[in-house]
Amino acid sequence: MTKSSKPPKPGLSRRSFLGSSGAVGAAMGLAGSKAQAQDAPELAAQEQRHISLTVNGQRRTLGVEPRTTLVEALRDVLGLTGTKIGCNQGQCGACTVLLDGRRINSCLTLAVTADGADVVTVEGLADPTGNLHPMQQAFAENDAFQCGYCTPGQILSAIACIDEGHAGDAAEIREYMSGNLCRCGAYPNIVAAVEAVRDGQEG
Amino acid sequence: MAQTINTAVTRTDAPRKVTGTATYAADVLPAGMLHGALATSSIAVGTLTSLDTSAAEAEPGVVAVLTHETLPDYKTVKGFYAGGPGSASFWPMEGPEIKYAGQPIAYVVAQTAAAARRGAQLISAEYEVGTPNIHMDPADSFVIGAQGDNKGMVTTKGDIDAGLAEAAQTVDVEYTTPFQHHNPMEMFSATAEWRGDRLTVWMPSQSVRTLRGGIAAAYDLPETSVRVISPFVGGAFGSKAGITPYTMLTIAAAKAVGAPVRLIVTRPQMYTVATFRPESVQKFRLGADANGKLTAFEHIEIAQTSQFDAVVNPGTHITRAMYASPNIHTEQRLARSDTNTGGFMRAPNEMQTFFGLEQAMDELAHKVGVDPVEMRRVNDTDRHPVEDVPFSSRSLMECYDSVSEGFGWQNRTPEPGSMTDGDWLVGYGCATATYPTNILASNARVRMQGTGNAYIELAAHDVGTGSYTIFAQIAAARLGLPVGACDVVMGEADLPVAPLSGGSTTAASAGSAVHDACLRIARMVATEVTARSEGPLAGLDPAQVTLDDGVLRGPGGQSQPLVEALAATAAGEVEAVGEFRHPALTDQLIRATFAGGYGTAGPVTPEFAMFAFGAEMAEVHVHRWTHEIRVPRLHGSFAAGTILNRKTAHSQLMGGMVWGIGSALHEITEVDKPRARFLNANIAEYLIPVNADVREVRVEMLDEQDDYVNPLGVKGIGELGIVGTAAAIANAVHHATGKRLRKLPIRMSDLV
Ligand code: FES
Ligand code: FES
Repeated sequence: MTKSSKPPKPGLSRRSFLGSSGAVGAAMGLAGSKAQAQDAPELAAQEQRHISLTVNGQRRTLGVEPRTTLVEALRDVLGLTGTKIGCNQGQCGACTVLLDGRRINSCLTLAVTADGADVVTVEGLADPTGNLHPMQQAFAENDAFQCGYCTPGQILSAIACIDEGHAGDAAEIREYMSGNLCRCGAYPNIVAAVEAVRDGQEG
Repeated sequence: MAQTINTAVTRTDAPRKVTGTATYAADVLPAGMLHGALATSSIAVGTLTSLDTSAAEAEPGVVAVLTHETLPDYKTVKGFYAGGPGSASFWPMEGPEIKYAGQPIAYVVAQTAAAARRGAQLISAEYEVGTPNIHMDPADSFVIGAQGDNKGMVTTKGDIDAGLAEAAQTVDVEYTTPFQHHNPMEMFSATAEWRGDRLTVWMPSQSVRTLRGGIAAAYDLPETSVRVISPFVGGAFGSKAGITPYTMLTIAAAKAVGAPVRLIVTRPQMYTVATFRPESVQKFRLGADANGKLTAFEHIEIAQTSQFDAVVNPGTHITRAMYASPNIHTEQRLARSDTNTGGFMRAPNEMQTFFGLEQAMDELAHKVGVDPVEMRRVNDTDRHPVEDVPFSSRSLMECYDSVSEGFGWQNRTPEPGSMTDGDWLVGYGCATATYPTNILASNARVRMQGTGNAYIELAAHDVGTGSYTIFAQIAAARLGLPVGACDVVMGEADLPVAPLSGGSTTAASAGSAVHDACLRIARMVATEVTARSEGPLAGLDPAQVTLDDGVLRGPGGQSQPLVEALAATAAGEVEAVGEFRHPALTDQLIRATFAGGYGTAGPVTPEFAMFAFGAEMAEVHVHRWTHEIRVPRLHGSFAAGTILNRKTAHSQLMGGMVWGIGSALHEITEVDKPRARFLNANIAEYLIPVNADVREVRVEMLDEQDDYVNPLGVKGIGELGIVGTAAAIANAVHHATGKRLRKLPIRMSDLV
């Protein structure tokens, strides 16, 4: 059966729909200009809340829906796309960020609950002159990634893993890094990177 | 200039990847962008009788709901296995037919991703429901080749029954492998932006030219009006090669709403809207004499395919190349069921077939009473057993010798169950790995500046494989520049032609084109500087000037670094387009690649058979009481011609072996049989190895020279690592427990 053999639905036939797309475009023009506003960018299809949080040391105020997740706020509102989405359902760790110093899955965290919090993403790790954080350096040197997609989450998780005191030996690192999936299979190199940073900190 | 090839060079894109500044397709935010979401069918076979979109349309933030009745028109294109650019030949939302569970039935566009997803949930559909079968019926299989004929799908040499009759020992065994899904960490996405008749698509891709060609054909646009951009890809493994329905739907949606639209496919939907590894049955009948030498080799592979495509991934073409036998019979068969079309998943012809072959060899070795490594040695061959041409290089036994030594194979006692460690039963298993060297045409443009920089441009891809780095290394080595001075630009369809990044081809084929471009640059510079009145090479015959590690050398010992010679030319800058056209590539194959297809020659040419080889050894511990299975050690030695970068190659091979652990012990897409749906369609219930599952993985890369495959002597390594792993682990489980497990994945419940 082909598309044209079906009776068009009232109000949404292909022809009438295309006719109405001008209105859609106009509505979007509005959303687009909102998103570009510098001081309080927004992400909202319905009622919105304004929240303010510290992201990588900078105070940010933004409008979000109650249902907007932290990862969507970071990526789509603040344009901090270093944080990745690998499942959007709390299973992979790609979206790991530090929230008040603790590693969390930002896809499972509603942005409104992060109001007032201190968030660190991968963009906030290098120092202002661009010197890499030791964990970033260790990941690069140990080839602790291939495609690099899980890497921002792995790096933040790895920093927290050491801070938590869960990097005692390779077995413990493997266990406490198992919430961050890497489909490229870089795990042994990830463990080597964590060990290198741990040893550097001790030494 | 320090040697840059065959050394361990840190990835040139590492700084971007560790700082979050590498741009993946879904990281772009075109101004005014809207968000898409798919609604998919809950049934597998039938017809949509009604689709109620009113609640979705009323949802705040929802801008449009597109169905098969309202979707803008585009021409559909053929699927990959039918010679087209599509992931499948059947295009959903062309009408009300439902041919697989999870088929897109509606496309919601909204102002936010959350509103789009909510809209998709609010769509309700009614169906006339048919009776689906998700599993193939191996008894109902047939032989079909890629071109619709049977060419090459059945091989017979000698007399298989006579060979079995004269054997001292035989095995007649069947292995099964399940549906599996690639599950790259980066979710599938497409972002489309129309500006009048010009279209830009951002999408993670293993083949930007396949995408562009197919999209241009679908929308009747000149290719010059379509941009396809995919600079970084968050893993692909075969899942991001063709144009998928969600790509076309997103482009259509962007056209309908007059704004850019981005779709991020949900993780559960990733199981149905793209390809997967089809389930398979591997039947082997092998016979051997009292020394283990094969007298008969039969392999029949039956693989699942959809109702509307013939997914031919001929594994028998690979297995029949492994061991000498006077009598050989192979058949490549398919059986249909009600799914979307499967495709190629990391080692598409090899993972499942070598799970069979390498266990069958182990079973036969056990029956004959020879050591499994010796079994491979007595059957090693330097000529292709069927095609009767020599291997261009074959270092299989060198790999076995290398891995045996590091692993301590001599400590293995042959009797199953004879090795223990406390409450753990210990098993050692081995298996052969191989991967065909596929050859494709490629171009590459290199621009070099006398100030000491070079730019390398080609429509190739870095799917985590390290291509950015190795192309820079090749150029650096040839041009005499530091690796960091060589900038590589890839992942755009407008760049010079490079092949689809699949089948472990990019380094070998596209790398050879980069190499060629550098040689052309040297020739151009030599022509110019020899014609000048001054300079170390002035007055020489340019044909006598050679390039040697970045230095131009004359016949009488004159020399000048290429970069210096270039700086002395009028323009101080030169560019050349390099080409790789292996003699085995026919016009038709070259044309196919230039049209965005996969025009591969090899692994067998009239002169040589081209394969990379490896040998893997696994130590498995099975707990005597709980039957828990652990893999404390996995070693592999591999010979794949020139290793361009020992760091990234190590990662590729290691990653492949980790995939093998997954195939052996974790991965299966479970099905709900009555409803023909994939059940565990998420990354927590579809198990893949996590960090704690992976202990010692040791990779050795042997030196191997192969002057036939390409000027760099490179064979592909992206898939080699996975090939023997599942069989090595299964063989080790047998050695530990005496239980022969012929079905993947191996679970502790199988050992109870
Ligand atoms: S994206 Fe958050 S856990 Fe996967
Ligand atoms: S580097 Fe690709 S998923 Fe980890």
